[in-house]
Amino acid sequence: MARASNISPQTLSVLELLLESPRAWHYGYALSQRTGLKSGTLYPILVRLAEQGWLDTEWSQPEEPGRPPRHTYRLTAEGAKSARQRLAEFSSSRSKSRLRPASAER
Amino acid sequence: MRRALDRLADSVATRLVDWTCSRVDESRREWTGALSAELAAIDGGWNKLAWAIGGLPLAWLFRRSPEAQLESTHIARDPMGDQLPAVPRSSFDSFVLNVVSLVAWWMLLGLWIRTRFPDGFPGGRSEWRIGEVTILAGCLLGAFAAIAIRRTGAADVLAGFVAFGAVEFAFHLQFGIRAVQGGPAHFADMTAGILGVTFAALTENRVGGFGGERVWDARKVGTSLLRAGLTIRRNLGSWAHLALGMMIARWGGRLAISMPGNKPAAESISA
Repeated sequence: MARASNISPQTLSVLELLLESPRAWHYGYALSQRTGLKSGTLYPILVRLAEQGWLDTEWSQPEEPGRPPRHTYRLTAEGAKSARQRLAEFSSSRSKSRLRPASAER
Repeated sequence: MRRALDRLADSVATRLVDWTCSRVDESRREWTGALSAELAAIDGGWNKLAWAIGGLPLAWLFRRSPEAQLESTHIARDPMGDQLPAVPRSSFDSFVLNVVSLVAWWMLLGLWIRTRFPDGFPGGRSEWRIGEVTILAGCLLGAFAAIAIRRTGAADVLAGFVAFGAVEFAFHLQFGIRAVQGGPAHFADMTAGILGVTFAALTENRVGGFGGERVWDARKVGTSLLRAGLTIRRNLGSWAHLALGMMIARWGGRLAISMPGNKPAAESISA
C-alpha cells in the first residue's frame, strides 16, 4: 500500500468530513458542497485516496427512478485510522508553530 | 426567460461533462462517470454548470493518449457500461467550446488592456503602434493557446485576426494612419481578411468530405454547385480563399468610402 505523503489541506478537509461519519457513504456533490472544493479538485483527491486503499467506493442505486446510479465513498478501516493520525499530526504541528516564540523563527 | 436560461445552463453543463468524459483515459472512466452521475442529481442549471466547469481540469488531469483519442468516436458516459447508451460525439460540443474559448480569450485580452491602459490606448502621432502591436501579440498568443487546447475553430478565427492585424500594422507603418481607417472600411477589411483565412483553414480540414460521389447531379443543382465549389477549392487550395478575401476587402473598402459621411483619407486629413 502506498504511503500518503505531504497531504494537502484540501485532502485533509475531505478526510475530516469523511471522518465525521466514517461508516456512512458520501456523495461527491455533497463532499464538494461541504468542503468548498471544485469537482476538478475533489475527484483527483478521491482517486488518490482510493488508490492508497483509504477509501471504499460503491455505485449506489438511484433514489428516484430514471436517475443514474451515483458513486459513493466512505473510509476504509485502514483509511479512517490513517486519517485520524494525519489530522492529529496536522493539528499538533499547527499548535506547535503557534506556540513557537518569534525569536526561534529567526 | 429565467427558466430558458436555466435550461440552457443545464444543456451546456451536460455537454461540458460529456466532453470531459470523452477526453479521459479508460482507467479513469469510473471517476468521470461519477462526475456525470452527480450532475443528474444536482438541482438547477446554474449549479450544474458550476459543477461541470469545476470538473473541466479532469480532462487534462485524467487525459488519455492522443492515439486513443483518435481511435475513439463515441463517449461512454456511464461507468457501469450497459446501463446507459453511449452518447455520440456531437459537433455542438466543438462549436460551444470554440465559442467559449474565443470569449475567454477576448475577456482576458480586454481585461489586460483595461488594466494596462485604463484611459484607452495612447492616441498620439506614433503611439498607435502600441495599441496595434498589443492586439496583434494578444491574437498571436490566443491562436497558440487555442492550438494548445485543440480548439481549431477558435485558432482559425484568431489566425484571421493575426493575419489582418499584421497586414494592417504593415500598411499603417508604410502609409501612416488615415482618418478613414476608423470607419466602416476598417471593419469591411477586417471581416474580409478574417473570413478569408478562417474559411480557408476550416474547409482545409474537410478535404475528402465528398469523396467517392459524383460532383454534378442535374436533379440536385444546389448540392451540385456546393460540391463543385468544394472541388474547385480543393484543387486551388487555400490561396483561392485568400484572394477572395482580398477582393471582398477591396470592394468593401470602396463601398465604405462611397457611403455618405465617409470622406476619402486625403479629404479627411485636409479637413
